[in-house]
Amino acid sequence: MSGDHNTFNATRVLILLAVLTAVEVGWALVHEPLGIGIWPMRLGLIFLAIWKGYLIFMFFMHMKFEGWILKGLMVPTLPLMCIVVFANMPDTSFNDKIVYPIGSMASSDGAEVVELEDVSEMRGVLPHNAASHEAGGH
Amino acid sequence: MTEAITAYDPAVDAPAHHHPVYDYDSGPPVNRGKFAIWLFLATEVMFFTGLIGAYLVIRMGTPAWPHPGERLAVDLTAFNTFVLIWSSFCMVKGVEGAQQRDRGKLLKWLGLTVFFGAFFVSVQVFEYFQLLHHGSVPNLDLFWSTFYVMTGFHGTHVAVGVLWLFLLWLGSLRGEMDERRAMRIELAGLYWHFVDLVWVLLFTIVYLM
Repeated sequence: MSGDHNTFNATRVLILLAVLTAVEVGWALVHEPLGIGIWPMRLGLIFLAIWKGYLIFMFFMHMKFEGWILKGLMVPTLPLMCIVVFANMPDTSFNDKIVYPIGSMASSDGAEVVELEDVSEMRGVLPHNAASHEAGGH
Repeated sequence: MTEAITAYDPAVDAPAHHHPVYDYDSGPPVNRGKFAIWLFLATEVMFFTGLIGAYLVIRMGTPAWPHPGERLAVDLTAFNTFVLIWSSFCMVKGVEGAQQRDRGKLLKWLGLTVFFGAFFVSVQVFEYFQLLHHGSVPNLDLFWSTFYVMTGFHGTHVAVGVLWLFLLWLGSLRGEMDERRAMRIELAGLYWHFVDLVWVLLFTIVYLM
């Protein structure tokens, strides 16, 4: 179904993907020095990632040039994706009511539930993070 | 109904390969292989949605989550992301070669796709060794558990894709350059681009956010 009419400039798509990736990494790195908040940074990253995904889906995967059957085949996945994500939300909403709340884990002997922050204290700071911690890193 | 069955004489009615022959195509008006691979990819979308969805829920529900930049080599993985995007481009060119019945073009670009795919997996394995060497084991905390599960399953998909494409490359060294081969390459290409698409999202969510 893709036939001969699926003409698109793959090099242009490649360049755009590379530029978007560079912008994405740059955006993640400069948000702190520029004083950009965490949520604008995250929303920007999500926007760029969706843009890149759209380019791959529509051009590299030829979906733009496919017929209605294949396009229709993929339509239900979008609401299903939302259902899967939002069906998990109660786990967060009722976090305090779960036996092992998110953010905690069983201790090594399984005797008690310890908070995530306590785990790093219990097992020591990771060797490759020690320098950043000592230097007053994040 | 019984009459109809008893009236059926396989020696007369059945064709040589014992399958009924219809004068119409019972499937949808689309290439079956392509329909099947898209159906498969739809299930893969749900598979990765489950992983990413669980990660987002866990992360939102956790009071303190380390910044990925503190724990992961973002620069190395950003470079690896470029490699995978480049391999996707090579795959597009390879499919083009197969559709043009140009064996040389197909072998060159498909070979490059396999090479860059294998390079991506190698860098990921190197990253894993480095992390494990420094004690960042999967059961250390939720950050590492989710990290290894998501990138591990994706890496497995890439490894399977590399193997699949390598076998197609071997098969393309000889034999007919026909419609059938072009379709096989195109179907593998769809899988490969999907793996690239998933990585684009995973890289953002796991390494940058």
